[in-house]
Amino acid sequence: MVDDDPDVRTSVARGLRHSGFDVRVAATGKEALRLLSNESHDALVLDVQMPELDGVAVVTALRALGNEIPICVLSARDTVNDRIAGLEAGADDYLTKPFDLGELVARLHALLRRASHSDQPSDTMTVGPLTIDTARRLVFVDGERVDLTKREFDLLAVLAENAGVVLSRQRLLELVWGYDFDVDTNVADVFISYLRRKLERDGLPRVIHTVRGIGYVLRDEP
Amino acid sequence: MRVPRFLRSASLRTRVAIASAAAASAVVAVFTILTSVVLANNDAAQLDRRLDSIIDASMYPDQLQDPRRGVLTTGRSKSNGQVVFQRGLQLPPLPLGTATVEVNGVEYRVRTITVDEQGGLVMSVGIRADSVLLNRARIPLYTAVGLVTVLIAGGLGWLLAGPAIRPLRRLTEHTKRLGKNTERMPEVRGVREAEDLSEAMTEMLSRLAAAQQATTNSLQAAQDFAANAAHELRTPLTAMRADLDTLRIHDLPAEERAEVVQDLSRAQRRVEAIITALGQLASGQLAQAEDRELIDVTDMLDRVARENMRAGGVEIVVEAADDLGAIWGWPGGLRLAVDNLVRNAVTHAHATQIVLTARRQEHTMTIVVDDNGRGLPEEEHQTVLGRFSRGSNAAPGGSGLGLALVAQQAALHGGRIELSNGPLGGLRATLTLSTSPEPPADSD
Repeated sequence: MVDDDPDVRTSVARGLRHSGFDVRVAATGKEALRLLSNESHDALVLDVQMPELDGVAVVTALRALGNEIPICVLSARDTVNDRIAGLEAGADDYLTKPFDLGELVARLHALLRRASHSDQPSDTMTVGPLTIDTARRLVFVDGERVDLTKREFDLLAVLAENAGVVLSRQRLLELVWGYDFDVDTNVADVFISYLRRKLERDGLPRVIHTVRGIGYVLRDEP
Repeated sequence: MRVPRFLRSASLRTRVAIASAAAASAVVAVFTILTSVVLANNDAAQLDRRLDSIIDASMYPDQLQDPRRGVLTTGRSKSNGQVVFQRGLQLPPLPLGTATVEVNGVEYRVRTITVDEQGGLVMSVGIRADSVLLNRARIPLYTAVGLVTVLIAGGLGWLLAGPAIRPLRRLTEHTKRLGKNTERMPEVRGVREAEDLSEAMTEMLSRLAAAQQATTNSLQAAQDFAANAAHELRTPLTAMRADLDTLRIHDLPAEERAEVVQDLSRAQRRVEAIITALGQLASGQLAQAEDRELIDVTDMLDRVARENMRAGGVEIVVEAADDLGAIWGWPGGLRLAVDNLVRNAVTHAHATQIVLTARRQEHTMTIVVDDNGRGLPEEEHQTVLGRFSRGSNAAPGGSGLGLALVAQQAALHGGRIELSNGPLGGLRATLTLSTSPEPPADSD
């Protein structure tokens, strides 16, 4: 649990402890990176706005080091947009301050479950210009490699496995994040927008389509 | 090199004067030439007529060829007025001297003289006098010439005034084009009035632009401030929410429960402190010059010391002369500034001894707050003065606005706040205030 504010750090860490987690706290990004390199942790709750090394930098550093620990960032922004700091760098989910402690606990449990059994079939899927190599976790568009974060890859893999099938947001949250409970978040839409931005670069045609009022579908033709 | 103004460009008045003078000279010149020609012709005609009369009189004294051309001579007896002799048409009897008379519808200029032969005669000699120039028949012609002259003068004036006021027209065009993509006023040269107007407009435009920039800046500052304030309030609320959820979800033992409740009330106080400080910042921003009062600094320091010692645990000494005098300022704001400095020393630096010193210099009053607390790292001496910034060793629960309020009050009072390492081992805060009775100009 990383936050520069002592009150938030104490209260959230105490809440998590009472919910059955073994919690270590850090006040700065540097301290968090040191803690994570010294001992193994299962999940990270990270404040985005911190002096010096901020949350985004911590996520970027961890992912660059190949650390795939599930990360939930705490964002102070209250605007609804798809540019949640930290998610693009590779965080898995976000909560806006102030948040419901029960919500954080439920999401952490789900992310931990997901992380422990990431058992997708190892083969290669092709949809239109898209090639997904699940064994090596690589994605190619027209033969060119596209770098995706872990969560982006998982989302694309789920969509590809169900190519042509419309998946609701709820179903995506369940399949990709393991949220098999009622959850109020637009994290799936945010990640869809990230995926589109990366896959449609250079004016490539859209492969992830929105089915209004229902959800998303991956298919070649419009 | 600067050329004197009057040399650089003529005034519009001068230009118009020159233009009208040019028009008038042209008309006068043309008219003079015309008149000279007409007058010369007239002179020649008159001379011809005189020659005709002389020839008639000397060559053919007895013949009357043309009654209108010849010289009329009528002689009358002085005594009875009888016509003695006559040549040409008869002239009426006239007194001695010269007169103009009409005979047979033609005007004659007649001179009447006395001739002393044959017992006294009065002789009148007349020649035609109808003028070539001064003739009723010519009135329409002269009127027409006058009208044409006026028209020519008007036309010339119009033509010549065009260039004279061109700079003004250019200025108008510039002004019309203004604002579409430029805020700069192109320079207009040539006419002093236009230059003055152009300069005045340029000045006005830059004033407007500056005002607009100031508005944009303060709007931006207000937006940033609102975002910061929201973030600052959200932080303790996040802690409170987590604590409330903990209490709600889990059945905690009494001891832990008490701890959570204590944290909750501290976070609540923090929210309150932030809201209070925000209100104080806002009222500092809205401080009016007419609300200023004379403040007795020594008295104020005594009161701050007394009230902060009431809670115990700290000794505060005031070192200020009784005759330090008063300064003009906002009493509430200044009191708040000194109070914040003292409370920071107690709360965040855990000081047990504080010395408040006040000194008056020529134009300034300096209030120094020294403490023996744990001080502040030197690199933070400047940063902690910013809004929502806290010292790295600050006690939890602060609003992050205390020193920003001090800085605001210092600026309002025409001075500043400086932090440094103090002689008592802790921090020294030096608050400088202006003693001028005039309210300081807007420092931001």
